[in-house]
Amino acid sequence: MNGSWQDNRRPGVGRINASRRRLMRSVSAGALGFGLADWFRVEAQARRTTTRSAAARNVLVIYEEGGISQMDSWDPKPDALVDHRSPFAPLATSVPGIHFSSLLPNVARHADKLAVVRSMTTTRVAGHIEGCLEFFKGYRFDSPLFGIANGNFRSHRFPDLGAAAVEALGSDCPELPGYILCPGANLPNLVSNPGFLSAGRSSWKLGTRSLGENLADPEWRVRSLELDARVDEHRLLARRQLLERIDSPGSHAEDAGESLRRYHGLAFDLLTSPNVQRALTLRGEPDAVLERYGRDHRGRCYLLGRKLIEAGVRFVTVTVIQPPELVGRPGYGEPNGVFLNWDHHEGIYRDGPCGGPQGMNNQERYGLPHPVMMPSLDRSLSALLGDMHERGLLDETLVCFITEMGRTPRLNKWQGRDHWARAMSIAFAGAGVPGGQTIGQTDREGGDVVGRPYTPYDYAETVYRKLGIATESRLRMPDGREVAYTDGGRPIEELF
Amino acid sequence: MKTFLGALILCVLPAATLLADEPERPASERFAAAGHDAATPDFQKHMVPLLSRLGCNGRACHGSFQGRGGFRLSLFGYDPAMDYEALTKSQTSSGGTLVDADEPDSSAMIEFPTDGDIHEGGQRFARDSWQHHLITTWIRNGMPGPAEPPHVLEQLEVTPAELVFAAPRQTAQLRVVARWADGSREDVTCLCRFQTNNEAVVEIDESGHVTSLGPGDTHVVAFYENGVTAVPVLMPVSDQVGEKFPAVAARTEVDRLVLDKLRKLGTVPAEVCGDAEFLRRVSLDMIGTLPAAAEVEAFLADTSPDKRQRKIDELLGRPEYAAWWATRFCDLTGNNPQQMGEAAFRTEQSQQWYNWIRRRLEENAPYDQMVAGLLLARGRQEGQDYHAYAEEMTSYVRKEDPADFAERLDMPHYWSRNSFRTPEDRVLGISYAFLGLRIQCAQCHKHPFDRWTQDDFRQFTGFFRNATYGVSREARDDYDKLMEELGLKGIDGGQQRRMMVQMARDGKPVPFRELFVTPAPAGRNARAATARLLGAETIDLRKCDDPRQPVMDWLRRPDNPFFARAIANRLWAHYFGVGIIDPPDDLNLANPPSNRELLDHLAAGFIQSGFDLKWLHREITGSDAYQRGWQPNETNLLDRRNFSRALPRRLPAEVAYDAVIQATASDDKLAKWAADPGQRAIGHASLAGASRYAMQVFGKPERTTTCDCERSSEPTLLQSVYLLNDQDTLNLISSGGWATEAARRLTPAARKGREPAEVPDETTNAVIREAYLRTISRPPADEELAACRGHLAAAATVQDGLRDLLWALLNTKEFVVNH
Repeated sequence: MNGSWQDNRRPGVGRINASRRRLMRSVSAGALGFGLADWFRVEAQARRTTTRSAAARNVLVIYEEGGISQMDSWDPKPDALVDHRSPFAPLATSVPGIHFSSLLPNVARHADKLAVVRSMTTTRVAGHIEGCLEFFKGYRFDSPLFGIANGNFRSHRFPDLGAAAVEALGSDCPELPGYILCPGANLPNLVSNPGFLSAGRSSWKLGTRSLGENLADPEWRVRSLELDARVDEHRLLARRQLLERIDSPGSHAEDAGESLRRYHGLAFDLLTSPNVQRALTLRGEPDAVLERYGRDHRGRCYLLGRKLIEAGVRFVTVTVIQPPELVGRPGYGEPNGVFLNWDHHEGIYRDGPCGGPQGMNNQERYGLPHPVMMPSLDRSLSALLGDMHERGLLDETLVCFITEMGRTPRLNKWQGRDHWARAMSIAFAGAGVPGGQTIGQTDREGGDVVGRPYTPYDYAETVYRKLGIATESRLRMPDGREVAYTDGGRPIEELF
Repeated sequence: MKTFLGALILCVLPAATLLADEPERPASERFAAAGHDAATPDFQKHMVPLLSRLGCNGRACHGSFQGRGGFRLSLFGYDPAMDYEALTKSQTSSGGTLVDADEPDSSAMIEFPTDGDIHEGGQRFARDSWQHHLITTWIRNGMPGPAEPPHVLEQLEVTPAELVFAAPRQTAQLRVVARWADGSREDVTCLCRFQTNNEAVVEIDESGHVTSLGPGDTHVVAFYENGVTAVPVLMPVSDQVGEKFPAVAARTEVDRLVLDKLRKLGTVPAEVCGDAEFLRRVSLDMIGTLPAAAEVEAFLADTSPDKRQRKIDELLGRPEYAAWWATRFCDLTGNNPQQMGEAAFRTEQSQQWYNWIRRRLEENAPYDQMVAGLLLARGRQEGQDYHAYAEEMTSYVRKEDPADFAERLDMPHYWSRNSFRTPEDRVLGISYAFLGLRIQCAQCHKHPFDRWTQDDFRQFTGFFRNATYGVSREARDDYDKLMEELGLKGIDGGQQRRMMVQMARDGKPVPFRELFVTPAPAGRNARAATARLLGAETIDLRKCDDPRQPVMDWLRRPDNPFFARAIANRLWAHYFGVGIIDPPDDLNLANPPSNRELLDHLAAGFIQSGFDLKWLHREITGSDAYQRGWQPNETNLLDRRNFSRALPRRLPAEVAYDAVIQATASDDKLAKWAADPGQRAIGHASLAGASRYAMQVFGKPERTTTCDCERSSEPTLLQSVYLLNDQDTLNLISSGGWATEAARRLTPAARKGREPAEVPDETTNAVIREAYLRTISRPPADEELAACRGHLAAAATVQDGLRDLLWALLNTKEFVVNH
């Protein structure tokens, strides 16, 4: 089909295969009757033939930023040394024998749908960008494959999982981009980008402000998409008619012209399609739904993510970093402060703000401790799982809950937990993932993996395989080198 | 007249090689039979190339940094000594050695690669093949290691030197002869790796057998040891070649060279484009600015034959020329405020950098001088003491009557960046910006597509070790004293910065760090005291006051193969959307120019002109090649590398953003805006003032990487959405001023006691014409005029109608594309 999302790509970049190559030849052989439309059709066919049957049509990644403590979420450690132990006891879930932290009472009721991997590990130094890169790219952050510039590794030159997935599979929802970050505003381009794929594979970030993106604000809109009050639908239609009459068809023959034409069509769809407009706004959502997910920023991010999946978007990543002003507690979270995330180097179990002896700046920085933020997560995540289950969306959607690292098994002198990548927990649901299981285990303190270690590259491999992408094929970089989809990742067997 | 009965193969052999003795026969013949007592294979000449050719030392196999199956080779054979060690000492999993001197045929080195069942990498060669015999002969004859000193490969001669095919499925065989410094020659075809640069035109198999696939032109490349040789391959796209090629006049030397290539290919160039198209194209390309409506009218009305040349000269004198190209040179040199060394004055120093380059462009300083101003910069000027230096640096940022940084002879901020502190970073940045080389591969291993080795890289870093951004030992006391006097000692960084900024604004000299150069170490540390230019001689750094000087001298030399070519090629790529070498930042032996003579001509002329950038701009844009229409014909539809027509390109981010403002602005606002291009996105404002969102959507580079690809030119959905419906655009349309102004002309004031007069048709037509000229720089065609008139008549108000018209014009493909 001409005009769908996946069509924008440069020859010679991305996956190549025999039929594509034949086509390039026939095009260059001067078969002038063979237009771009045919090109795209053949490309689409080629794409289908190189994938195997898929358990997942869509992927919804919930990425909670900052590094959630594994002991206070999926991997409670009641037997840790008392000085290190979380004050929050394990809680029995709906599945006999499986315990989560008692900070997740509602999520615990959905344990039957969840497969929790407690043995995620990477041996690398843990940092936010590094951890995020590994989960977003499926490559070690210091993979030498992509070169070193200015002393820094260049793994960000590999496309995001979402970008690579759309490159391989296209989209089932031609009106919307195949890879959306919801809202993703604070993620630097260094972390989330299309890598060596074309700019058309960039994730679409619904948020545009790196600070201050707040979905709970009733005035929150997706930039550029709201029809302007000055131009009602009738006038927009008149404008479009005028445009169509005066827009010269000539440059269609060109690649640039052809892409422009398609994007124009798509842009109009974005603006005028009721489906799309509905998928991109939370106005008009029933109170019960809003209440269920939570009316805070997090709840709305999760809900919008579900709506985008429902609209058919291939790959949605919900990124949550809580705007401080929402919390409504005095003394921290200045409007210009860093947003609240899970990076609790200080006072992780306090009742009020984390801030402690390190001073006001840090208090602002580390925001609210785990027990204060966790109820919001518990509500939103349990609502998402329940809602998607009821709507039948879990059948073909792989839901992944990730965070970029774990936290130290021992408390530091500020009663916080620092970065820790030797052991962390993530969770999966949907798309045929057998629920009601935990995979792998950590030691008594939760600091080291003692069984069935898995890595972020294994996570990436799992996501690609669930989508039916033939990962034994290679992605082709602009310089002609071919690279694997993941950094030697193996699928997490228990999820298939 | 020639008819093509099969491949016409041109053999252009240098005379010397014709006279020389036949080269040594290829290893594939000499080792064809087992037990043949041929000479012992040489480790460097035969063993390593064979391992490369077989793919053993590739990245996915034993060349991986972890090795494979417990056996690791150097990637692409960059370290023969390590490979020798690996082959002779490695143990197999069963504890044996890789080679079995007693029974060479049972060596693991033979067993594994000949047996796909036990070798994860599959069968690489057959038992009893020449490869097998070569290896066993080497083992049997005592496994000699790499020669010391190593053999030096002088040249890789490939015949035929050019391949011309007439039809698909024709074939040819390449023959590759290595010529070594000792004069010996050997046929090494069987030991080469080969690649095709366009798999739609030609394919080449591992034995150098070439098969034509389709029309077009490209290269096939042979790699052996350190040698890379590319052979041009061509198959005409039509029968209009040679004498059958239509008569097209070559107005300039550039045209002659472009046409020479097109004639071989049978690609007929497009006609020269119309005046309006030319004016729009050259204005957007050269000065990043749409022509004003009046300017288009004047240009169309001008009947003199040399008006295009005069327009080019005029544009090169406009302030927008310097503003826009300063932005492009800031891209290239990496002017990124986040990286500035002086955290307190990031924005100011970035602005100073920009201004310095802009001044050089305004004055048309020779390119080599501009580059020398960057490369040889020092913080302090001759004889200046530290205090005077601190005073000088402060004078640029003080609030009252700031001094003009652009007056400085050099521009040290290039070196003060945090991303430019190590010699390695400097080699990468300088090679990228001024040599057009991507040399990063050679940092860790031999460059797989070029001749550069790790040693070349290391040797080149030697020139860049002695420039430091910091406080020199000799100025330390003065610096500390100043810190103390100003009360800046011992307070935390943020506070210190705030105080410094305040004091500097008030004109009180504050301590700046400085870029200083120390002499190369003398005496015992002799190795560190020399460095080697890329592909050129070794320099004794102890004889230089500034170790960077020999690099600058080398750049300026007429025989420098990169400096002039890199910039000539980049300017060409700017104007054509594709370089003669493409991508333009990848000058390597395996990526040869599509038209070598053309690039040579530009580079030689540029050097001849005294590195006059405007000469290059004129030489390129003054040609018919640049001025051709974009409409393709049957023969040039697929041409993207031989310049037979214009390739429509999306406007760069800054240009697109400014164009929307310019198209919608009132005349007053335009006049103000035109007076100071520094306030526009094409000027420096783009880093701070201009809509960050628009810059991001349209892909302005952040200047964090050394790659021309950082600037995106692809259309994306969000760009369409931005122009269709973003508040930025809609606000400009409704409040930019032009629509309101023009509406007044179409709404005559009601005179007392009379009905308002009808607006004459000519007035309406004139307003529509102006809207066209403002946006797509050409008058409307009759049917377009009619469509617009119809829309205006139906609109609720004149103003609404005009806004609709502007909106529609901004959203035509013609607007956002330079065609």
